[in-house]
Amino acid sequence: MWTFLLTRVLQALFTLWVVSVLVFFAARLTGSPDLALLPPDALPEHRQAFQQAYGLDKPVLVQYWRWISRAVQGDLGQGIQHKIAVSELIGPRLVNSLKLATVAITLAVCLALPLGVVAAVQRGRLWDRIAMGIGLGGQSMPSFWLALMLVLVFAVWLRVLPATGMGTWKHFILPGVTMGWFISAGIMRLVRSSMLEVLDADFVKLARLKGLAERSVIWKHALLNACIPVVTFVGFMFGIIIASSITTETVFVWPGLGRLVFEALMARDFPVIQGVVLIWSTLIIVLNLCVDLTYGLLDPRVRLIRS
Amino acid sequence: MQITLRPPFGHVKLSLRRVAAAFPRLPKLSAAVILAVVLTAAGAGLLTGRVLPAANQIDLRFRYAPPWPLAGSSLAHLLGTDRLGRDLLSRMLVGGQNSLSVALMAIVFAAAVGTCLGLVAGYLGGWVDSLIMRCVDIMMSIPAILVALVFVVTIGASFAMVVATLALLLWAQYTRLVRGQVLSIKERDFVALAHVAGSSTRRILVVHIFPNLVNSVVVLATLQIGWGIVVESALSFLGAGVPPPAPTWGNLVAEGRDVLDQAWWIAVCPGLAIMLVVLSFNLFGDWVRDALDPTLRQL
Repeated sequence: MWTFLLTRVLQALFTLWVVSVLVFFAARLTGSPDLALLPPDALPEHRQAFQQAYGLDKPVLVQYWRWISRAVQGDLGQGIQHKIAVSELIGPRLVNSLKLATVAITLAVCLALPLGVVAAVQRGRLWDRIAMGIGLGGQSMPSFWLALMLVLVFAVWLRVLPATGMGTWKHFILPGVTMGWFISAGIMRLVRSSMLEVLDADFVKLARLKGLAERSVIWKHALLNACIPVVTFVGFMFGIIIASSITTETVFVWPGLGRLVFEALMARDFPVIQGVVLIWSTLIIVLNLCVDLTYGLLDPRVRLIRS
Repeated sequence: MQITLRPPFGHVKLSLRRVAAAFPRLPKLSAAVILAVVLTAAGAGLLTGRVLPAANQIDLRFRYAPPWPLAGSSLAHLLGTDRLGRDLLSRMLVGGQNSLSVALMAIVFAAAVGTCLGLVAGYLGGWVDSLIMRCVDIMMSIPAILVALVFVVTIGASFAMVVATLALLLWAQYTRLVRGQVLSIKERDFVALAHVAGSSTRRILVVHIFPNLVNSVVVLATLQIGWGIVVESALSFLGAGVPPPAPTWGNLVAEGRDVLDQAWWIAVCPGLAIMLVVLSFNLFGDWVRDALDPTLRQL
């Protein structure tokens, strides 16, 4: 058990290191930020001063070492565009993104769990078709387009919900639905297929034979077991949320991490890009690690095999 | 006595027969949509500029003409025009050509590289296996779209760049799938027999093992086309796809975003096209999976 724990943690750290290398060097492959941030007619000595101020004139390996050794201590450097510490820049944006993600996940789970269960129970009938329709729709619509369509209908035509920004609870509805629908498609398919599997299992037959109410069989005995694969989906789901948050936040002008990284990319603001990617990857990798480590708690069968 | 070793090609033939048997269950509407889109995308060069206006032909007299039956529209521009009076239908056809070819080429590259790596990892095992699978794990646990965005924006957007980036995001899934199958196939008797008969490792991999997992690779590839189109259009939407003035479905939606209140059709139509095509490819992919290899339900 301990060796398993140790190897998993070491693997996670290694992955994190590879991500840091990838992002650091990708961001430097071409183009220095002075191309994007200084006017085209800037004098060469101004360019040099700019590069010196941000340490861009040093060899790349030296730059990497300086960045990573400080990042480990929690100092992600200073943004080039906004001139404040990257961690200060990221902090409030991360909170905003997490607020939106919470709304989206809540919506997604509230929609996907019951629908997935009902679809599995009524396999092939009306509710199954409705659920699969909603799921397929969520999978096929690019989230940026769904976002625009929601803005078109509810903000431009009906004028009932705000199109951009963040403030009241109304601002959460459109971006929340956009991201929630997208995520719920995956969860619903997973719940449905794993419910179908579980409903065939012996313990469900036994529960029915015992004379338990059908409601209790499905929503308690079957669902709890069907949720195990859904939990492993959490890390993956977080990746999806990040992916869709970039486009969704851009459309809704949401002051979150997705928009921050997009603006930073356009301005070649290296410290901010690196910081955001590093934080996001850490979140995903830690989540996946937690899922792996707690998997045994949820499913005693896995524990037996490992020990 | 002569022992002839027939590689198990019978499997491939059998599954073709299975495809034929499953034909009644083919999602006909999806297949029709896919066929129509592939044909119009392939023939976009013939259609635009002859039957339809050229995709980049500017005509300032017809700025923001709405789609056909609406007031102020003309039959010459069935789906309306944009800010410069360019015909939306022509741009969508050429855009479809760009979007589809990016997605398809990326998947072909990813499948080729991923399958080779999976074959090698599964058959050789040992440190080669560990190394390759470590890379796969890393690829699968980083925020892929973000890394793609970083690559495309920093290195510069171009057709080849977008294809390469998408392929980079996709190969790991093939490797994981193929490796798993090789691990079980290589224990089978015909592989041992081929080994005894003196086949080289390369021959065993290419002639004896590979034909047994073609089906799975094809299934994964069809299921990924929809995803490829969506990611390509998201990159284009963010301005990191095939660069303008070449239209793609994603950058057409992005153009429509700024004029949503006065010219809704510019954003709506290309998005509808994406949705319809992705939906069709998803349904078609489900069908291919059920027909070729139902054990891949989890994909």
